[in-house]
Amino acid sequence: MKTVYEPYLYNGGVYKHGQVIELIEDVGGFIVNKVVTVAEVDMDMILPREEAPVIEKFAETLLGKLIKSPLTGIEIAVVSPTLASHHLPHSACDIAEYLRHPGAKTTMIGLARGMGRRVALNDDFERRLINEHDIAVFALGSFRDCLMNKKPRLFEGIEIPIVVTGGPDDLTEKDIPRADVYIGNLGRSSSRLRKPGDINALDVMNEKVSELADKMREDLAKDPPAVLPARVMKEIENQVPEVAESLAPSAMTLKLTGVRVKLPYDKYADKIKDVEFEEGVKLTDVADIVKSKMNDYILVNIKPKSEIGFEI
Amino acid sequence: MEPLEIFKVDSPIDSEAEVYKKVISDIISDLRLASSIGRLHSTVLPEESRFDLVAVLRDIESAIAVEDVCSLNSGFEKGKDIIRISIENEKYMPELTTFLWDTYGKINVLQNDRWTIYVFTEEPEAEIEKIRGIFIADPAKSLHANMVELAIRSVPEGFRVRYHTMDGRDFLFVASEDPLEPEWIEDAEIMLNNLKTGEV
Repeated sequence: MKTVYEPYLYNGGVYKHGQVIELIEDVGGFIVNKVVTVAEVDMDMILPREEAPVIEKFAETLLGKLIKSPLTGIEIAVVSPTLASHHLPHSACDIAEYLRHPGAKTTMIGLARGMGRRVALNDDFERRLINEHDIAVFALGSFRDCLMNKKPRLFEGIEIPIVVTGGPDDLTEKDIPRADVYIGNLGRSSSRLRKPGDINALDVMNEKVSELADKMREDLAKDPPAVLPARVMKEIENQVPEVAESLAPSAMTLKLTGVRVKLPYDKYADKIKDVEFEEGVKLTDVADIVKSKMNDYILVNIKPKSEIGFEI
Repeated sequence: MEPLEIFKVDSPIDSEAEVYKKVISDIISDLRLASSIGRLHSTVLPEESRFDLVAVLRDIESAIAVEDVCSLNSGFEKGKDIIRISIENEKYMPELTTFLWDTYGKINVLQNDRWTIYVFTEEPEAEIEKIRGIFIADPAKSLHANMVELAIRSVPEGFRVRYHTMDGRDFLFVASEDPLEPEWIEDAEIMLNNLKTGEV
């Protein structure tokens, strides 16, 4: 039977957390991210589903807890039509911040010419940048007519699932061309989203985006990547120590089918290509290693099992 | 006229009008305009790409001179001649201190307590006569700037063709994504006249 991996978050004290890490590695899990704040530690991880209770039980003995974090390992682009005060910092930043709660890594993208109704459009660079992510969340405004008839032009060329947030609460994804999910009550706001209505809408958003992510994972399980992205991340971490010196926030970002390595492509691409697994396979054999549109970072896109013919 | 005795935002869809009412009221409170605006009416027509905002302002204060906000006396402190300034209206403190710093230099201006400022100068009496009537703030001018700011911040995104007038207490603003039609401005003028008579 094939192992199903699920994302979790461990929250507990720093004391003896090394034992938790060892146990995670023993059961075949991977640490994606570790943040130590004073005496507390938060660890995002990917675990084999049937091993989660083992970690949970051990966490209890250390007075820590293991929580499901459905968006760990998903990179989300939060796109606003512009970077003007109509969208930022409220509501687009609030949306991005809330998506990070269940573990997602978010990138804020403001389009150069996304404003208005008649003139709104996206350009090729922006489309390619957005397509590097797993999910695109478009933080749009409050006008029903804009949402239904004008702004879908911004979705042209976007090949990843599209989530749209907007003001009207009676619209559905069927009303907005090309949208996969629509979330209402999150339109234009000139104050922080902290009222109960706003928080409810954000909770609904996290729930729906998590459902979408689950569905994407299920679809992916039919033809999984030739190697688990979390494993690639771990191998890169071990074999390319320069990653630890990268000053970028989260130097390696896990995606559904790959990893974004925040090192300059020209200097480090060959090193990344040469990363070797214990089965004797090199990373370049199982993945496309390309230059990312984001700051010339390195993007590792793992090929599916059907293309390679084997899985490690 | 009471502050914001009429505050109305219209749109073909009520929920959109509500959003814009909330946005405009947030911006009014950010810019501290609530006590300056008597009546305000705005219409948002996204499908026609039109945004109108008209307002009738309350009494506008005339320009503020130094002697309007404080009393000035000469004195002797710390072995030096000084102008002793007793603050009577704190609202214009930033403008007053900026004026004093610019005129006498920061080193010669000492705020002794919340209500008292000492200015070290050699001829306090002559200086008092010199600065007494100088205008340090013009509320009408800053109100005009703030009203324009209010209109620009509340306008829907992308409505970059804009027209505004401020005639005494009457403020009128029209914005669109397309070139403005003369009749849109005429409509806004009718809105403003209705607002003045209270027929909203």
